[in-house]
Amino acid sequence: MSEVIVETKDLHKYYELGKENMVKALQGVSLQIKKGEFIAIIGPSGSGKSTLMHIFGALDSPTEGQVWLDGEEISKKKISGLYKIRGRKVGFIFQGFNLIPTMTALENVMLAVEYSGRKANAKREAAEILTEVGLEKRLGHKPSELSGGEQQRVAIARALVNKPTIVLADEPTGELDTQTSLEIIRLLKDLNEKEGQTFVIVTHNPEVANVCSRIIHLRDGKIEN
Amino acid sequence: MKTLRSIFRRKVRSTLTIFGIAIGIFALVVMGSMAEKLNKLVGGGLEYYGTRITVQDAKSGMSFFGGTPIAVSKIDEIKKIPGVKSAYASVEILKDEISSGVNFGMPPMIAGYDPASFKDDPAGSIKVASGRDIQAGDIKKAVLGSDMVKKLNVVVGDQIDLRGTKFEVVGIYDKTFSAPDSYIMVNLPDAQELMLESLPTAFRPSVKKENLATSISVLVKGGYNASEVTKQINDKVKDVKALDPEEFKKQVANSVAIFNLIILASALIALVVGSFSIINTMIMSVAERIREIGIKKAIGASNFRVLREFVLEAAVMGLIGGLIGLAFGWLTVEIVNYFTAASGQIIFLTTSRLAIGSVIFATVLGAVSGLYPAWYAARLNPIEALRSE
Ligand SMILES: Nc1ncnc2c1ncn2[C@@H]1O[C@H](COP(=O)(O)OP(=O)(O)O)[C@@H](O)[C@H]1O
Ligand SMILES: [Mg+2]
Repeated sequence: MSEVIVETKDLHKYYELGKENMVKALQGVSLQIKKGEFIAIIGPSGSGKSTLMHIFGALDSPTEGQVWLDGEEISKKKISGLYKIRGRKVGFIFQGFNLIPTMTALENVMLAVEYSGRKANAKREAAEILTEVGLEKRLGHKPSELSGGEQQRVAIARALVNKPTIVLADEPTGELDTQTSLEIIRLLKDLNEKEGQTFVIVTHNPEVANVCSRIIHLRDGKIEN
Repeated sequence: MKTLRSIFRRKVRSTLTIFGIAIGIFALVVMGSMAEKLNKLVGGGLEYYGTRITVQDAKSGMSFFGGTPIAVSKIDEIKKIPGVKSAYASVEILKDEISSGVNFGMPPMIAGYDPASFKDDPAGSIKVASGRDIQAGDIKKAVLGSDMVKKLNVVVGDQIDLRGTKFEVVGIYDKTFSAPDSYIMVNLPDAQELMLESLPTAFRPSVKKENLATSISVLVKGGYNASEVTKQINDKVKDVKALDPEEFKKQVANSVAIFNLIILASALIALVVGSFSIINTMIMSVAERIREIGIKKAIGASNFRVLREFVLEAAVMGLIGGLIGLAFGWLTVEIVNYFTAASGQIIFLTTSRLAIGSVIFATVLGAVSGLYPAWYAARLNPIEALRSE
């Protein structure tokens, strides 16, 4: 029953900053993530955590190595051609929430449904998931009218609305106070247990790491054990 | 809705851009209405003049109106030419000896025909809206073209003054949107008398009133070529000059085409300026929203989708500008027409093809202007876009 959702083989990601100056963000990362796992990635700043998440999520491509997402190799494909995978199989949650400021909570979530091509049900599905994260009274509010914790709930709703195979959260509690952070993590954990979706969470917060089933340590672009 | 909100996120900038387009479309609608009115006028004129050969005295100038009188007796000679269906004398003189003020379109004309022969002419089939048409034997009776009613401020039964002679208005023609709208029809002998009085005094004793005409209109039988018949008349009848209706059509078509081109070009210049303004606004709008583009891509928007959103935004700006421009242009045209109608001069005609065409044009222009900024937005790398700010 332990189906592999993400697999990487010898991933490398280099950024060329000049002729002589090359940043090696990832240097040979090989790992497997199974269905239903709740994984934390921790490591110092600049160790390549975000880069790795972006590659999992079909937002960025590796310089070398292979990535499979839900059985499909995505490392050979152009990023612009992977929008369907980003829309349907991956849910992103960012540290800065990344909501669209001119849209209401409901519209922000609806957008993700529309992009995945299910326009007809967008409103109902968006309202349902917002209710599930406890925002049924905030549907018509713009991000600027919501607290940090509420904004992150909207972002979680948006990430989950298309029932993705994997949810990738990059420091989701980085801008929240301790109390709110715990609430958010508990919410993610609940969703994981209820729906059996796979979660990968980048975090600095040891409390967050504590509730995870597995911790991946990253340092200088390598997995450390 | 979402598109409108995106546009008006920057209220002042977008409003200014939209007004840029609106001004261009305003110019297009107003100038275009002028062109449409002229086209219609000329189109009607072609029907009126373009179907018959006009024969003038050989000494007459290039002008269609006035000039040296032609002898009515030439009709018998002309009728002998093969292909001539009928020929009849017509007198067309300006209502006022010196035309007053600036005239757009046709100046008011006094036209005299023999009602019997005029029946054959397609132009003789204009319907009477009220009263009756000129009949054989009428003396000092006039039937007015529709524009003349307002201009002279008269109704059927009133008296009008034509070059010092009183005439009774017995009827009013339907609107034709062309030359006959500014005609005052009288019986041929009356017109001949008015014409005689308009001739230089020294000239008068040498001509017989019944033999006076400004031109002879010749209708061509079916199956004959008008240009060919014109040539025959010029070759066989002495001291006359027959004008080929085909030549006339060509000349008119050329001058109308030039006029239309000038109008189109000036409106286009206005719109190119508007288009640059949209490009500028959209580039700024994309630059401000790079992060938003990154978010959209991260949650599943395709490049095409991003492109479409921005192109749509630009198109909607064009559409709004187009509608505003049309509204103001149309309003202006109606107001000017309302005031000039009192003097019987309608200068503008906003046709539905012009109205719809200019709004579509504004929308397409907006979309095209938005294409480059939208393409730039669509090609942004999602990670770099998310990292911005
Ligand atoms: N677009 C980029 N250009 C140059 N260097 C980059 C770029 N993105 C990331 N890096 C570098 O790659 C390394 C890993 O970055 P990142 O994955 O963001 O680390 P983390 O998320 O663990 O803090 C860092 O040294 C960072 O400076
Ligand atoms: Mg990071």
